[in-house]
Amino acid sequence: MSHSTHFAIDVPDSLIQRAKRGDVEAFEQIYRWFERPIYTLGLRLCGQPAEAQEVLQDSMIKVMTRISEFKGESPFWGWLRQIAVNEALMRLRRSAKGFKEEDVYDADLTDNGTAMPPQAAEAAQMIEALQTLPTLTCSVLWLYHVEGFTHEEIAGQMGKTPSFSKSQLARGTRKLRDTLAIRPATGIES
Amino acid sequence: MNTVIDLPNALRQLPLEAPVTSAWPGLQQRLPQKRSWPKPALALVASTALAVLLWQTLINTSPQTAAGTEQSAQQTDIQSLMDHSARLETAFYAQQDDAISSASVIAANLGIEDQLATIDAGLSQQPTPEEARTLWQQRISLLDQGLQLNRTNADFNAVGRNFDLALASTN
Repeated sequence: MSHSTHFAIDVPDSLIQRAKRGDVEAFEQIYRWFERPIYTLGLRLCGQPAEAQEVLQDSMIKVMTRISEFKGESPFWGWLRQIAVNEALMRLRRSAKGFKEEDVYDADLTDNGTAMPPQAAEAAQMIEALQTLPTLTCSVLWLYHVEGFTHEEIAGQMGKTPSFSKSQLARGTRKLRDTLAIRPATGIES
Repeated sequence: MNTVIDLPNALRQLPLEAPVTSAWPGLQQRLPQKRSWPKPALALVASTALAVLLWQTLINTSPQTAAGTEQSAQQTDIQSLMDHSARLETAFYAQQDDAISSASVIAANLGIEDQLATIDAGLSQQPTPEEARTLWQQRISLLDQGLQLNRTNADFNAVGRNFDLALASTN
C-alpha cells in the first residue's frame, strides 16, 4: 500500500496511550492532525462539503469510541484511515447517487495509461475535472491512485468485483483526460 | 513541447481541503469527561508527597543530631530544586503554541510531557532524599530542553523559516 497518502502521519505511541485513557487533549491532538486528511477523503469520495463534514465527524466519533480496539499491530494512521474510508463509502452507498446508478460498466474497458495533458498540473483545473466524474468513479480513482488501495481491496470494500474497479478506473482516467484536454492551459511552462 | 503529467502524481499533489468549521467543539461534547490530570497538578501531588515524606523523616529524627542537620540542608536543597522546576514548568506550558508549532515540535513536547509524568510518578513513590534530588534535577533538565526547543521553534517562525526543514537539513 502506498505511503504517499496524507494520512501517513506517525502518531507517537504515548499519545495513543493517553487517548486510550480518555485524555481529551490527546484526542484533540489526533483530531488536529487528521482533520484535513479525513475531510479531503470525504470530499473526494462523497463529492459534497456537507457530506465530507459528516464523514469527518462520524469517523472521529468512531475513532474515539473504538480506540481501545487498536492493538498497534499496524500504523495508527492506517487504522484511522480505514474507519474514514468505511464511513465515506457507507455514506456513498446510502445516498441517491450510490452504487446502483453506476453499476452498469464495461468490463472490457481497460486503459492502463495514466498520462494527462498539462492542465492536470493545475490544481483548480484538476479539481474541476474531478467534479465532472460520477461520484463512484471519482472514489475509485482516489482510493487507487492517492490512497494506494489495490483493485481487490477497493472491490472488497465496495462489494464489487476487481473488474468493476478496473473499469471504473479506466473510464475515469479517460474522462479526466478528455475533460482536461479541451480546457486552456494557463500558467504552465512547456 | 507538450508536457505530459502523470495522473497519480497530479492527484497526490492536490492541496488538502479544510472544513469551513471545525468539528472539534461538537466532538469534545460527546467525549466522556475523563480528562487526565494536568501535568502541573501531578507535579503538585508529587511535591506534596515529597514534603510529607520529608516532614515525617524530620519529626522521627532527633533535631540535635548531625544527621538532622544534614537532612535539613537536603530539604532546603530539594525545596530550591522544586521551586526552580515549578518556574520552568510554568514557562514551558505558557510557551507552547500548537498553532505555530510544527508536527515534530508538538510530538517532542508530548514526549517531554510523558517523561515528566514518569518522573512525577517516581517522586510520588516516597523516594529517599537523594533519589528525590536526582529526580528533581532530571525534571529541571527536561524542562530546560523543552524550553530551548520551543524557543528555537518560535525563533524560526519569527523569521518565516520552517523548523522541520532546518532539522531535516542537519541530518
